[in-house]
This record gives sequence, structure tokens and C-alpha cells, in this order.
Amino acid sequence: MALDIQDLYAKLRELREAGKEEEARTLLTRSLSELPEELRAEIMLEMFADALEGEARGMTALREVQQEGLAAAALLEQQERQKKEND
Amino acid sequence: MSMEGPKKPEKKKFIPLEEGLSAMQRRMSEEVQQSEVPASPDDAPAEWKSLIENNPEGDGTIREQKYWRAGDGAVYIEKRRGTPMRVAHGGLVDFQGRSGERTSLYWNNENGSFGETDPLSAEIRAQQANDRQRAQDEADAHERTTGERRRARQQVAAVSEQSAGDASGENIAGGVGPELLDRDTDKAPDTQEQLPAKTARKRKKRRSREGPHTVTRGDALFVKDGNTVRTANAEEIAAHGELLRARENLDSILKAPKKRGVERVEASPVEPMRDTFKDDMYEATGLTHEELKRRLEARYKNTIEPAEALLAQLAARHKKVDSKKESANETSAEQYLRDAARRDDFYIIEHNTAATTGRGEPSQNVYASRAMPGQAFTQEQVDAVERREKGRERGFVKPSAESETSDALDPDKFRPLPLSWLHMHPDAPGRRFTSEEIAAIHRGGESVPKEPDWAIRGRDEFEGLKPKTLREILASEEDQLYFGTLIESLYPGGAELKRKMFENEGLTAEERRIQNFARYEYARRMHQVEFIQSSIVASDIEHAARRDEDFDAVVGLNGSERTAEIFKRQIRHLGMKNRGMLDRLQLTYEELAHLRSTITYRAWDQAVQQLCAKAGTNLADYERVFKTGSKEERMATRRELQGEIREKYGRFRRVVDSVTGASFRKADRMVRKAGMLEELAGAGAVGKVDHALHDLTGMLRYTLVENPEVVRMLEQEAERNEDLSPAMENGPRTFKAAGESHLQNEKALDEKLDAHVRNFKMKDGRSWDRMNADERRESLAPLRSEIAHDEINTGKGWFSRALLSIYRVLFARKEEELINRPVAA
Repeated sequence: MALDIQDLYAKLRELREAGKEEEARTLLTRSLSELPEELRAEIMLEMFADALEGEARGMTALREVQQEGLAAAALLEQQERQKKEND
Repeated sequence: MSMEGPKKPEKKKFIPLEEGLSAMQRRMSEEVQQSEVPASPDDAPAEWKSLIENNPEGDGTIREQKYWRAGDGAVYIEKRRGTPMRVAHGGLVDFQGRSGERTSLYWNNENGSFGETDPLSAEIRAQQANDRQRAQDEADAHERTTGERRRARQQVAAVSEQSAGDASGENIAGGVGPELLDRDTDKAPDTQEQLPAKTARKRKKRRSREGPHTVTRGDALFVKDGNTVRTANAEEIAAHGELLRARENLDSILKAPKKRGVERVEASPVEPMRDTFKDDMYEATGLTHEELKRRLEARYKNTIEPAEALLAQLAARHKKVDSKKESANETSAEQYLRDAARRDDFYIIEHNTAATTGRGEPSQNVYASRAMPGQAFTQEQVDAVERREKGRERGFVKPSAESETSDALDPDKFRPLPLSWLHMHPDAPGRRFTSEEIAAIHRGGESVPKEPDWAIRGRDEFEGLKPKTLREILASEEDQLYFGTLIESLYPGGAELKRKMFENEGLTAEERRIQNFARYEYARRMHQVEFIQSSIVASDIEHAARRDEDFDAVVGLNGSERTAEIFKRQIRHLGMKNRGMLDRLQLTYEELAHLRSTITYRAWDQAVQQLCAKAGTNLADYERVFKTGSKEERMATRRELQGEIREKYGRFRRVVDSVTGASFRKADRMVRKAGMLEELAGAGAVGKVDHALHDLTGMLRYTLVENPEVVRMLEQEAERNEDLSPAMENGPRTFKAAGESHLQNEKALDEKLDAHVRNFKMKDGRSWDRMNADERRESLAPLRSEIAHDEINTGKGWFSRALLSIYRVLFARKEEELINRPVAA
């Protein structure tokens, strides 16, 4: 039986109003293959763009960790060297 | 007509009372209408004058006239010699009989007769009682915290006094019915040691007063006066009951949880404004009329409206408007702004408090002023006014608060607000934003939606582009298709322009400008599309899928290679309809490219390898932890990795903080850092350095890889460990809030669509049923544009945007169905 978009939308709205995010997402994901190709691609691109943005945010966090870690390691090494020289 | 006739020594002319009454009653029933009550004697209706002047029985000499206001109307009475009196509703008529006796009767329009009771007085009394009650209610609302308790105490004291006073009367009655007595205090007067200490103290204090007072014994009430005890009479019993009720009231208030703060906005969003300018601006500022006028004149000497007119408006009390929330989600402040936006005489000014900013809510403190167009209070001024208000509500005003507000309206101390806060159109002085625009500002925190500017020059995004000519576009079927899609989505009349363009119809000058703009926009979007098409690779899709399980499931249907192909094919068409998506993807890809090409990223591998070698750890740990063979393995790995990164991230941060002293860390951490550095310099430092290095490398080895799981967890940990609150993001913050907000907009659009079909009329008066398809389509263009341009709030995340996409499809279907309805003959 062909998917009725109106019904799907009503169910998604119902879940959304009830605050059931996970269920709503799962329902939409499962129904995605039955949507028209253009609409399906649009939704998938939205998912992809979100994930890509997350990737960029994560990369930024990763770079900060790297920079801070390098600076801290350099300082620690310096401390260690000085201590050894003093001893 | 002269209302004051010459005063002559009055010669009394007596007529029988019954005869006079009868004549007057008849005439008044016929002629006097309540609606004719004049506002002043000079405004007496012409027909009254005519009646009087043409009355052959009278000489026109005024014997007596009375005039007073009552409610919104007025009452006017005049008596003329030899004529029946003109009496409006409620008028008092004095009549003197032959023998000199006087009779005063009231005229009642309701039943068209005289009576002994004054109907107007009853109305006035009722009105006055209403006014008093309203004033009392308002006063009560402002004294919820302290006033209630004070009044209740006063009530108890007053009733006690009354009770004692009554008890001293001479009228001593006999026995008292047990049903009237105080059952809660059925203790004998001499057994106070058995009572609770507090009650005993109160009774002792009361007894210590001079004069009679009531006491209870069993079910009986007595009055004790010195050494004399007598039974209470009926009045004393009633007074005692009153006292008990007052006490109960006090007890209930004292036991109720104390209310903190001042409830202002929640009850009615209009109240704060009335409170702020409680009486008038003079009182709020402490300035005299002359001083305020002088300052305003100096400030606004070039404005159209004179300062005096501004002051008149300023001094006028703000009217309370009848307001209802448009939706359950609407905050009081939003409601207030909406109401205020409908008023013609106020500019809206607001400020954010730290608390509301932190919650990401619109300000709850809203101030409006007509007298200060384009200006706003400073935060200090607002604070000063608030302190003063709170002082008032608590029954005192600190002298310091008085002095702080004395120059609250000093124009020299004003500062202009950002235009996004001041709801006055930036490009059109004098034009105020509509409530929808204000709502849009609050929803998105964006600048005001403007009319599209179709200019080409000066736009950075068009710099260096070489757009195709129209001939080139029309020569290619593919370009024709995408260009048409772009034009349609560009503005409300896009569909009509597309039709005219492809059918070679003449275009207006404005349409030619839009078409020219569209050529540049088309070139820009095609450039973006090509960049994104070249950037989308299967590995990115795999990465993204590992970050998002839903997306993972979708990619699993076709595989990453096939998904990439779908994206590349669809991105051109979707990009023409949705510029936002193109911009997002382009920016993200550019950012990722930048992040991946940094020196840190490339140099990291070698640096961390060296660190690992130095700290005696190895990179194999990561490979051991991260197993991705099956779904179960991936889930287990994710959990394990999450726990490990979380633990290591904490230690990592501590090491980094203690060594580098990151500037955004809190002061106490800086102190700890100093302590640790001292320790490092002391005995055993080498071991501690080694330990710290170990912690660092334990964490850092994860940063070597580009695994999205790791990246995601690092991102999460970084956010979790952030000391400063993340910047307030616009739009709803919870899924539910986003959903509800979205829902409201959809509902509103549905309602708009229905209302449009119901109410729209062509210039020639034809309704929807008689319009042809083209006319219907054209009339719907603004609504179509509203959802095509992302003007409705979508909330955050792909799911909300996906719902919007589905809604657009449904909206288009509904629209087509309405357009294709049969046309009535």
C-alpha cells in the first residue's frame, strides 16, 4: 500500500507534540524509502548537512585538544628539563 | 440661551400638589429622554429650549437649576416659573404646596414616575462602590507580601477593640446559644498555663488591657470587666465571632508560604507598563512639569510635536487593553509586545536582564514611551525605577532610590538601542514594525525581514561571477528548468514572471530587474552546487552515517556510493529551491577543509608519537579499543570509548589547566594550577611530570584519528566541560518547544489559506468560486512565498526541517486542489 504522506505527517506531528523525538525520528527514517525521490533526497541532505556540521564542530574541538595538549606537553618537558638541570 | 435670568424677589405661586405632579409626570414621560442629558447647562438640547420658550404658561424665568455629573453622563434640572420642570433621570423635584409644606420627589425615567427614592443616587452609589472595590483590588495586588499580613493584623486588632468596646456596653443579655460560641477556645480563663505559649501570651496581653474583654468558658462567652463577669449579649457574641474570623484569616496568611519577589508580568502583561508609569512620568522621574518640559524642548526642538503635547500624552495614564494569549506557548512578554505593537502611540523599547538572557527568553521588563522616540532607558535607569517600585510595594522608598531616579529621563544620558531591539523600522523612519515582524524578530533573533533588494552592484556574493545571458539560459533545456525553479522560489510573483518570460510576454521594469538579479543568483548557486558536488565523497557520507544512527540507517538502504550519487543529482534542483541548504553545505565543507589542512592536524601525528614514546604508552591501545566489525561491536565500542574518553578528558583538562592556565578557567582552578607548578618544582617533580605526560598522551592518542565517533565524543566532552555557558542560540531550545512552535506556524498557515479562500475578492468583487485558476494561483503567491522562504520557524535539527519539507509538499497539494476547484458559472 502506498504511503499516505498526510497520514505520516499527522503521526509525526502527534509524536512531536507528545515530545517523543526518538520515535518520530525512527518513524520518519523507516518511511523515508516510500517518499517521493525529491522529498527523500531533501530530507537525507538535511541529515547529512547536520552530521557534517557536527563533524566540523568535533574537528574544532579536536583541534583545540591538540593545541592545548601540545602546549601543555611542551611546558611539562621544560619543567622536567629544568628540574633535572637543577638537580 | 442665557441660563441665568434676572433675579427678582420671588413671588410664590401655589398650585395643588396632586395637580402639579400629574402635569409634570405627563410631560416628562413624553419629552424627557435619558439620552438627552446634557453635559453642561449650556449644552441643553434645543428642543428643551424651544419647549420652554414656547410654553404659554410660563414666563421663562428660571427659579432654580441644578447640574451635576454622574458616571459618564450628567443630570440637569431646571425649574421655571409657571412651567413644568425639565428633569432628567434621577432629578430631585422640590414642590411646595399651598399651605407651605414642601415635598421632594425623584423623577425616574425607567418607570416614568416620581418616587421617594433616588434612582440615580443608587446608580452613583453602585458605581462608587465598584470604583472602591476596583481600587481595593489593585491595592491588594500590590501588597500581596507585606500588606496582607499587616492588614490582617490590623483587622484583628480593630475587631478586638470593637469587641472590647461592645463588651463595655450597658446592655447585658441573658444566656448565650452554644452554636454562637468559640469552640476552639473552650478553655477556662484561669487555665492559661495549659494553652500553647503563644496563645497564652496573647491572652495575657489582652487581659492586661484596661476595660472589659471577652472570655470563653466551655461553650459560653462572658465579658470580664475587672472583677465583674457577666454573660455576653448578642452584639458581643457577633463581635467575638468577627474577631475569630479575623484571627483565622491572619493564621491562614501567616501559614501560607511567603511569596518572594513581585509578580508583575504573569498576571497581565500590560500591568508592568502601568506600574512603571504608575501615576505619571513626573512622579516616576521626580522631575517637575516645567523641568521635564524644558528638557524635552531642548531635546526635541526640531520635532513636529511640541513638548507640551508629548507631556500631555506622557501624563495620561496608560489604558489597560483587553488581551488574550494567542497560543499557550506565547510568553507574557511576547504577548505584551504584540499588544503594544498594535497601539499607535507607543514605541516599544525593551532590555534584557541577565536572568532572561540566560534563559534565552525575551525580556520581561518592557518599557514604552512616546516621549522618547528612538531612545531608551539605560540599564541603570531601569534598575533605579525598579528599585523604586519595589520600595513602594513594600511600603517604603529609600532616599537613595529617589535620588537615583531623579535624572532618569535626562536626555543627555540616553543611549540608542540596537535597531533590532527598538521596534522602529531602520530604513523607514516613523514606520513601526507589525506584530508579525516583531514576532519574527523574537523567534529568530534576526534582523527585520526587508523587501528584497534586487540590486546587483555592491554585492560581495556576486563578485567575479559571469552570469549566463538570458539567451544562453533559454537555449539549454537544463538551464531553463533550473532557472525557472529559481525564479519561482525567488519571490511571490516568481511563477507569473517565469510564465511571462518563457512565453515572451513583455516584462515590467521591476520584473526585468528581478530577472537580471536571478541570472546572477543562478550563477552563484550553480557555482555552489559544483563546489558541493565535487566535495561530496563516499567517505564523508560514511563518516556522517557513523555520527547519526538515523542517517546510518538511510545510507544503509543504498550504500554510501549510491547515496553520494543521489545527492549529487538532487543538489542542483534542491539548491535552486533552497538557498539555505546550499549555504550550509558550502560553509561546512569549507570549514572542514580548513580544519583538515591546518599545520596542527598534519604535525600532530609525529608529535603525539613522540609523546607516546616518552610517556611509555603506545598507539595500539586505540586500535584495541575500537572494534567495528558488527553493529553490536560498534555499540559496545562506542560505550567503551565514551567512558574512556570521558575519564581521560577530565584528567587531560586538569593537566592542561594546571600547566598552561587556560585563560577562561575559573579563578580557583588558577590557584590549583599555581599549587601544582610549585609541586612540580619541588621534590619528586619528575615523577609528577611523567604522570602528567602519561595522562596527556592517554587522551591525545585518540585525537590522532579521524574517526567520527572519537570526534563526536571529544566534541561532547568539550561542550560538557565548558565553563562558560554556551552562547544563546536562537529558536526553540527543546525538541518539544521546536515542534510546538513549528506547529503553531503550520496551523497559522493552514488558517491563512482557508481564510484566504473564504474571504479573498478580486477588484471586481468576484469571490474564489468565480476566479479562474490563474487568478487563484496568483492570489496565493504571498502565502506560497511564506513557506518557500523559510519564514516559518523550523526549530533546530534535521527532523524539524524534514517536517517542514513534508509540510511544503502537503501545502502544495492543498493549494493545487483549491486552485483546481470548478469555477462557478
